[in-house]
Amino acid sequence: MKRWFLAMASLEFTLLSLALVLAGGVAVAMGGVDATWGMSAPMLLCAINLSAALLVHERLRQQGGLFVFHCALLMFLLLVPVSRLTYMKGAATVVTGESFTGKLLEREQGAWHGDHLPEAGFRNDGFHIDYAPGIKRRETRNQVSWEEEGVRVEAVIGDNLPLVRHGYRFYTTANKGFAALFQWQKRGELLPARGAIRFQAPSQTDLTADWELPGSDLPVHLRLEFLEPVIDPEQGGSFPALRPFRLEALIHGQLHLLQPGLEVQLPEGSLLFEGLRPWMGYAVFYDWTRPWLLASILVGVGGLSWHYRRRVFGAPWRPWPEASAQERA
Amino acid sequence: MDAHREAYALWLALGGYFVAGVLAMTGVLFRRFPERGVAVFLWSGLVVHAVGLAWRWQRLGHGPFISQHEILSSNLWSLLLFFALVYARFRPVRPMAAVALPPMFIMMGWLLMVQPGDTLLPTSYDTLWLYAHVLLGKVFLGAAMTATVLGGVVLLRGWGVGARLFDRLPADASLDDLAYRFLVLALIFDTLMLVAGAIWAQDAWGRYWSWDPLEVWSLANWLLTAMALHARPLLGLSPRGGAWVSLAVFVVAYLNFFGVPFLAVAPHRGVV
Repeated sequence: MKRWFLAMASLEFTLLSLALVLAGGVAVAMGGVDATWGMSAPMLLCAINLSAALLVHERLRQQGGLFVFHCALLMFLLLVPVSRLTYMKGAATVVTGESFTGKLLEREQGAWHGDHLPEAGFRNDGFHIDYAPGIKRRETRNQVSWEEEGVRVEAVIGDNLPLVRHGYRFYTTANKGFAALFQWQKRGELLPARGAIRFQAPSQTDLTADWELPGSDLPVHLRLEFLEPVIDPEQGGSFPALRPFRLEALIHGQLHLLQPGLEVQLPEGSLLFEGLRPWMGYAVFYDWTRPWLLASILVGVGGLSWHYRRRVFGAPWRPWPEASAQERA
Repeated sequence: MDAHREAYALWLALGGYFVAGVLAMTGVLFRRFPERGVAVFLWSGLVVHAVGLAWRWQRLGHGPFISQHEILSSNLWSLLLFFALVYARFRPVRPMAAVALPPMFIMMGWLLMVQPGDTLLPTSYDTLWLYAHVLLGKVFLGAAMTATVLGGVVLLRGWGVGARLFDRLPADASLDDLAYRFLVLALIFDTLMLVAGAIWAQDAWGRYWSWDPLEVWSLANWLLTAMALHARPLLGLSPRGGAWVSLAVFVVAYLNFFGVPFLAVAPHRGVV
């Protein structure tokens, strides 16, 4: 057998590739290297080493449990790069009463991720978050709904309980707030544009946001002030609880105090403030390899335990092997 | 009153552990090891400590998973429980208690300096996978510690007075063999701990791995343990070499459990 192939199958190469995995992990963790390539490359080296070792070393194939472990490990090492190439991670916000249509605020994905996110749409039908005194977040309950084959399906999601649609997992987060809903009817346009301007951090009472009216470069500076704390820091409570508020819009240097239903006439068009509604932030995650990764690890652990059941766990430990036992006698 | 009785239980337990440790050290020093005495004080401490932990669990409505005090206290208990079981099972190596227990004094001192304030369980911790992750982690750490303690005896024997103090224990090769078995156990439970942690993280934070400091150190720990087991057949390590390897694994594990969670500022810092 060729020397280079034997070298690839050697324990020295194993140690080297494990060390490279460790180094890759540290490099990724320190932020200097992309995780996909930083981990996939050394893991593929490990996979090459392992494949060669399984072919070369008959002893590995003969020991059932160890063989199963290493095959499972090989599957894991090949799945991780595939996972990194096909995963998707993102963040979205959905106002209560509105639907998620596939638009994300943040997105990162592998090069091979095929986007089916618009098919995973759902409607945010409202949520409640309990708060203990000291503004300690407790249970989150979010009602969501969607259509499956023409039938409306409802569910309640929340902490540790995601919505799973078409492989995409939607998790509620601590990111939430109120959105000011507007209709902007630009002069000369047939249909108005609807917009939701999100304000965060409901533990604060004074919030600001900046917006440009759609189809124009007209800036709008918004200031939202709650006249009472949204959540009582001493009593706790439930979010969202709409407290009396004051919403001001600064447009063309003029301050407008907005009330729900109020329409502001501007030279460029008319701006209608519909009202405040709560919004929820969702973490979105996709990785089809998850169950296969888990299966490979569990099979591997089972194989390893089986291999060691006699050598380590079954064989009695001899504190004084015979030779030294005779000396002691 | 409830918090006071928990404190009394903790002090009593620490007292029991301390006496067990002193008995072990003096027993080895004067070559008359009081096996039963060490066991009595160790197990008494464990029982009283468990009662104290149970009282706190009942009062707060959640287990000891949150604050520095809770994590130190519960891990001190689980490490000593694991060691007590090893002590009961492997009679020839009982004098190694003189090596195992004194380092626990440092943990006990640290525990006494930390405020035992009340805590609230975050919603992301309200899952069975937390319990699985913690339990598996405790077995891993106990196994790694035992391998290290056995290696510690081997190393001490190489340094003059240690050879005399531990001459009644089995030979280095036998201790090394036993340490290897515990290192294998450590790798298996470390793997399962990482899996349970990833499953927990997936639904708690929306991803099963995110390279936060605790996860990176856990991975480093696993890789080091795997390398340690591969290094033994490859390098033909002597018992002393194996002892150093076990020590390296445990040091990283200890930093992983008691360093990173209290220093990192990432969301998965382990201590809220």
